[in-house]
Amino acid sequence: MQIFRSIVRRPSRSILTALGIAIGIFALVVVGALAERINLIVNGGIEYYSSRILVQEGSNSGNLFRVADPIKLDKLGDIRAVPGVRAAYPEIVTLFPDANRSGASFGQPPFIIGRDAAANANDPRPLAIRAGRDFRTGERGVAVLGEDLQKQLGVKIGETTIISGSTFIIVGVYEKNFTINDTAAVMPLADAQLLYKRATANPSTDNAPVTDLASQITVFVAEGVDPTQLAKDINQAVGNVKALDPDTFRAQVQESARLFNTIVFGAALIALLIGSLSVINTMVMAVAERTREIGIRKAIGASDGRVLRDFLAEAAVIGLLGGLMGLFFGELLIQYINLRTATNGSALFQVTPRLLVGSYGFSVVLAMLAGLGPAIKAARMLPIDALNRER
Amino acid sequence: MKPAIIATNLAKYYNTGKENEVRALDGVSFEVATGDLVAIIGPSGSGKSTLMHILGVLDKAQKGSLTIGDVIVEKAPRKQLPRIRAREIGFIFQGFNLLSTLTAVENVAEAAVYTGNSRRESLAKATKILEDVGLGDRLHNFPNQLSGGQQQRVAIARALVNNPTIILGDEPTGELDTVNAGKIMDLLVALNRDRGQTIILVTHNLEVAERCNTIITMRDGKIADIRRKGNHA
Ligand SMILES: Nc1ncnc2c1ncn2[C@@H]1O[C@H](COP(=O)(O)OP(=O)(O)OP(=O)(O)O)[C@@H](O)[C@H]1O
Ligand SMILES: [Mg+2]
Repeated sequence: MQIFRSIVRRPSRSILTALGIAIGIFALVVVGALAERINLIVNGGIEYYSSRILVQEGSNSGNLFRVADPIKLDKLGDIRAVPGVRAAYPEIVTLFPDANRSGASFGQPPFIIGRDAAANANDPRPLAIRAGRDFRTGERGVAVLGEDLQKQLGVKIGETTIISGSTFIIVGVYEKNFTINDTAAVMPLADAQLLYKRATANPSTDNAPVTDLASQITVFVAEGVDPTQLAKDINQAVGNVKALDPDTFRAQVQESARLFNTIVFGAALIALLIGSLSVINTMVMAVAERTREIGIRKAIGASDGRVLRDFLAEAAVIGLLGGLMGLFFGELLIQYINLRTATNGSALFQVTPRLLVGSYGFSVVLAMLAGLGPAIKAARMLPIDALNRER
Repeated sequence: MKPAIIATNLAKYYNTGKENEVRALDGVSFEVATGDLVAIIGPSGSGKSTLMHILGVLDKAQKGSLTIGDVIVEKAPRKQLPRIRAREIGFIFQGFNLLSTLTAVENVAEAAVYTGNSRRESLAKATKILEDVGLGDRLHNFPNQLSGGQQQRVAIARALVNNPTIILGDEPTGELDTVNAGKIMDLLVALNRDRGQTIILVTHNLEVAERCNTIITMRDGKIADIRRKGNHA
């Protein structure tokens, strides 16, 4: 009762203290939610490759962000026959040389990707549509842009753009997932084959019919099959190919997300710093403000332990209330921004339970710890020193 | 009878060794008999408050020895000091020093809680004693809702609530007009006479001083004179 009395009788002081803690938690939650979102996306990128194997011509290096030498499509049948292969689709991946590269996303060049409409539809980890729609089977002259490329080109859905000399209607934008698709113009395989044929004067493909052209074959792994083992099986069963398993790509995805992660980590660190300083400053001030009161209590016979207990109990109550306030306003801001950004695609923040519990627990414990030092010091002072302390 | 307080050669210097060194207390020795009513007078800055704070175990002397009842204060373990403050001594500050977040009755009860009373017992004791000092109708007012004289009486009630053996008042009537100062003195004199509590008062008011049995005069951190009257030895 005394605790609540003391809080209620000093509303402005209590509110200021709670606010200091609220700001700390607020900063943690908001930046934390941003980090959680990025984390989710990066994990999405890793997951994207976890369910697939890319089969390239044997001479290739296996770098995801390099254009591969063409593969002969007569191998498609052999690959589909390997046990454990759920589906296999030919795919063209080639550079998009005329896309303006200024402001490119973290050095990843623009690509042209051609694939069956059915490939994304049957993909266990399909690319999510951020805006517009995906292209359909049989459709021609359309493209869906990766989020980064769309920003770079500045084209809107429904507008046309010229890709390698041909005109395409942009029908949709894929959500960023930290894969090659982020900077790609994805189009029907047949369209990409024509562009590819036009761009490459390659003796090994010059005589081949255009419908036989592909730079790689994407294999979806059947349920319960170990992709690493399946990649080995394909390498053995099919001659002169290089089957790349998810482990090969994990590092490449993480590498491409690294700068992003560094930025987010830095922001989170700053939030933690600001949040902690706000909380610590608040508690230290709260004790300093109350030194005189502590002096009075000691002068009339309160023991050090009692002064400390009462103070920490009050700090805990204010900390818990301030924390709730911080969570509430953090959540409010996040909801608001998410609502605003949701209209043109995906949410910016991800509020996870571990984030809420983590920042709440962290701040309240920090508040208690930050209050503990100065409170012990004040509780051990001679009453007269506490009473004479200037404020 | 054993003295209530024995002070031997108490000293307290501020800014020792520096140019602005102040010898607030400079070798003060005296005894206060149990049940005595003592006035301490002297010019401003002569060390009266410094002495009172040390007697009340709110401050420490740098030299000398202080015995309160059976306890040699400078040798007592740290943990025992709150017990002495709570049970043996009732301290009335010149500036009241009430807790502004508590009502009159809660302020008084707070001191009773520190001697191990339950909250309810403490509130009952506090109510009783506030009625005794004529504040029965102001129990639930906060300090800032009370006049200076009323706050002074709350502070006195708080000093009395644990029935201490020694009451120390640093100008307890300083804030009061002559009529109210007289009333407070009547109360303290009655407590001294009826309950035998040892009382030491700092005062600038010679009328107040004249009602005491012993008058100690301080000057420059030293005792200039001790005058005893009546039958106190
Ligand atoms: N914290 C301190 N630091 C430095 N000097 C101090 C301190 N406290 C008191 N003094 C000095 O000690 C001396 C005695 O002060 P004290 O308060 O005991 O005087 P007093 O007799 O109570 O005076 P008054 O009648 O004005 O209340 C004064 O010279 C004062 O300036
Ligand atoms: Mg004084």
